[in-house]
Parts: sequence; structure tokens; C-alpha cells
Amino acid sequence: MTDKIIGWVLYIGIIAFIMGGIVESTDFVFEVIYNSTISSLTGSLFLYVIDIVLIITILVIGYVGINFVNTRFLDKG
Amino acid sequence: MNNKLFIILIAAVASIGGLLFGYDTGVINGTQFYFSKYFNLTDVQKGWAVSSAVLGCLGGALVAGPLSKVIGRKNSLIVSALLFTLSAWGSGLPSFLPQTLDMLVFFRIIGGIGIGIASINAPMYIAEIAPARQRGNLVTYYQLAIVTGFFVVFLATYFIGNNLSEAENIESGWRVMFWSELIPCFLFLILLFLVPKSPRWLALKQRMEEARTVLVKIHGEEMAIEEEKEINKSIEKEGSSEGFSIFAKGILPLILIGSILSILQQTTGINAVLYYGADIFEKALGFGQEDVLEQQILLAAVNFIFTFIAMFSVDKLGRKPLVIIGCIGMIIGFMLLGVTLKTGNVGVVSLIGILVFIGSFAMSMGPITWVLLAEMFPNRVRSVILSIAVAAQWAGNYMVSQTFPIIAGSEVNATNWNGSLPYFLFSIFLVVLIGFTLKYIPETKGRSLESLEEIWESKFGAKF
Repeated sequence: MTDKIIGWVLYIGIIAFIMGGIVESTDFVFEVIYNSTISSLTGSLFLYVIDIVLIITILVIGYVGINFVNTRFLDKG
Repeated sequence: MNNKLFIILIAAVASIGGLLFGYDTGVINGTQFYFSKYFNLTDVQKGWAVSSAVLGCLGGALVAGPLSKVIGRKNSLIVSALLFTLSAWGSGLPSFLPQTLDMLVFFRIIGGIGIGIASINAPMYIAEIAPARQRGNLVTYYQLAIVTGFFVVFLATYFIGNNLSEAENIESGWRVMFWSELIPCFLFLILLFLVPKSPRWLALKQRMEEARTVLVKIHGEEMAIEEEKEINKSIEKEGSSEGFSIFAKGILPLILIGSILSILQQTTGINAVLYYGADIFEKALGFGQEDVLEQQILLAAVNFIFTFIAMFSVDKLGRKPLVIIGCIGMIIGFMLLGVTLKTGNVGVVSLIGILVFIGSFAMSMGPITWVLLAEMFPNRVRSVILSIAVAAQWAGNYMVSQTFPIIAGSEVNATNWNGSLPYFLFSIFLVVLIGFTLKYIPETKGRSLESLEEIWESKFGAKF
């Protein structure tokens, strides 16, 4: 039972990390960088590429975490 | 009741989840047009108000898997119906609630979580209830229900908005638009109590007696025995694929291909047009307030009709040709829109441009991305890649819907591009999508899963 509770807490934490990470990275890339440095067609494209790389990285890290929580805590017994 | 009719009714009930998916995501288009004026939102705030629900969808989709495992498909759908209802009621901000953007965002995220949960559980429930020979057909009900939801919500917002003055729409019209969703929400919630639990989930939980009762009710005595054998076989098979690592040789490139395809589906700009259509029609194309909601219906109708075209042509033309044709159509559509905006000649040609774009998306990348993701990866890794790719799709949707108002409202867009910058940006991503499809996406039409596995094995050294 304790394992399940720890598992669910970690699971929700990882989802919060993924959601928060995507919001923060998009905010950083577009609000901070777009407004201060690059604001042209190629610049905007570049920012999208940076954001896509960040998003995929966050998702892969998050999935590794989810996988770990599932096997170590939630799928036990 | 006849078995066949019973199955169709069950699938129809679960498909209301798809209709609410379309309704809840589409309702933002008409409402944001008015609530952004009510709250006097900046571009960034508007992006947040619109994309917050998408973020909820991402969270909902991530939690849907384990939730469904613990409480089952039917109960997960009931949870999603409750979340939809709470969101529809709360997003209209009844007078006793604080009239703030944060409150609106909170209820939109709640609705988004409902969409995320329904988006995983409704098709899964239909697939688990349907007999093998009807499965594909019944799952397409769900896809159809999503575009129907878009169409219905655009009609509803048109009729609500059209009967009120602009001042009334800004003060209260957008609230009624949100509350209109309560009708399908209640219908969904009530009908869900009348459908049986998934027999496959019951079998997974070792509740074989109950599973058998449901199977007999759905398929009849004889077929029920066959279905039970199939279920047991698939559960055994699933057990044998556990303990699989995403870092196994050659798997990461497949994850990247699935995720990039999903994100490129979003960088076509489809949801910028679907969520901010009212803004595009008013600000960029100069339509009057009274015409804006009417143009939305045209947009939704084109989306609806062309989705049918994809459904009937996907097995004849193949997946890759449809994607390429669709991308070329989308580029032409955005070029018509972009060039007319840049040269200051907006009018019918710009409207045709948007409609060509929507039609081309609906007949290609809209449904085909799902078909490709479901078909092109080997059985053993499909569920892993699919769950990351679905999350990437919601994340990409968030990125585009959050940043579209920032780019559209930027100074460089107004001064150097005359409002056309976002459409040229999306066109460049469409060119990238064509190149990506040609290089990395295999044609899955008429090919066995084994032959597809060989492609990945020779390309990335992956072993399945």
C-alpha cells in the first residue's frame, strides 16, 4: 500500500514537472528571447526549433521517470 | 435489443466523449473573441487563456493510462464527464465566483484534463467492446465525433453570438457559449451509467464472471466464447512485452520520429486557425463582427467534409501521398493568405486561402498522423512510442496556441510583414514536414507489420 501511495505521489510530481517544464520553456523562449533579441522570420523559426528540442527532451526525461515509477511502485503486486 | 444495435449504441455513447473533445476545444474560438475584450487581455495573457486547456489535455492524457488501469475505462469516462461538466459551468464564471483570468484558466485546465482522459479512454473502450470485424469502423465514429463537436460548437456560438449585441457578447455572451456545453455534458454523464464495463478490463482484473456476462450481452453465447479466448490471449501477450526499455538499441530514433511527426502536425498551424479563427477573420482579414462567427461555420463545415474524404481515400491512395498532397495544399492555402496580407489585398482570395488550408489539413495530416502512428511502429514498442507521441502532440499544440498571439501581435509582424509572418512561418514548417515524411516515414498501406519491422531494423539496428 505504501508503495502505491509513494508511486502515485511521484507520478503526479512527474506530470507536474512535464507540464511546468513545457510552460516555462515556452515562456522563456518566446517571451524573453523573442522580445529581447530575435524577431524576424529566421529568428522565429530558430526559437520554435529550440522549443521543440526542449519539449522532446522534457517528455523523454518525464517518460523515463514514469516508466521507473510504474515498474518500481505502481505495477508491484 | 439486437446485439449489433446494442454495440452501435455503446460506441455512440463513448463517442460523445469525442464530441465533447471537439466541443470543448472549439468553444474557445468564439469565446476568446469576447472574453479577451471583457478582461482586456494582452497577447501573452490571451495565449495563456487559450492554451491552458491544452496543457490540461497533456496532463489528462498522461494520467489516463494508470487511472484507466485502476478504475476502468467506463469509470474513467465518468470522471472525464464530471470534469467536462465542472469546466463548462465554471468557465462561464457564475457571478459568485471571482471574475478573474486565473479563475477562467483554472476551469479550462480542469476541462483539458477531462479531454485528455477521454481522448485515451473513449477509443480504448470502443475498441475493447467492439467485435474484431467492426472494430475499425466503430473507432472511426470517435474521429468523426471530434469534428462533429467542432462543427456543432461553431454553430452554437454563431447562434448565441448572433442574437446578442457586441456589448452583450462581451459582457455575457461568452459565458452562455461555455454553458452551452453543459447539454452534451449531462447527456454524456447520464448515458455512461447505462453502458457496461469493458470486458477486457474486467478480465484484466480477474473478474471473469462479470466479463463473460458482458461478452454474452454484446456478442451472444457463441461469439462470447471466441472473444473470451482472444482477450485472454492478448492479455498473455501484453504480459510478455513488459520490462521493455526505451534506451534499448535503435528505439530512441523511433521515439524521435513519432514525436517529431506529432509536433510537425501541430506546426502546420491548424490549431492557430481553429482557436484564433475569429481573430484572424476580424483583425487580419477585416471582416465585421457580425460576419466573423458566420465564417467560422464555413471553416468547420470544410473541416467536417474533408475529414470524410480522408476516411474514404486513405486505403486507396496510401498514407504518404495523402500527406504530401495535403501539405502542398496547406502551403498553397497559406501562401494565398500570406501574400494577400503582405500586399494589402485581403478579401475573398484570403478567405479561399484559409479554406484551402483547412480542407487540405482535414484530408491529410489530421487523421493520417493517427493512422501512421498506430501502424508504422512494431507491436512491442507501439504503446510506448504512441504515449510519448500523443504527449508531444499536446505539447506542440500548447506551443503553437500559446505563441501564435505573441508572433501575430509582435511589432515586426505589423511593420515588416503586414500581419503575414505567422503564415510564412507555418509554410516553412510544412516544407520541413514534406522532407521529413519523404525521408523517415514508411508507407504502411498494404504492408505487413513484419516488413515494417525489417525497415527499422536495417535503418537503426533496432531489434524487436
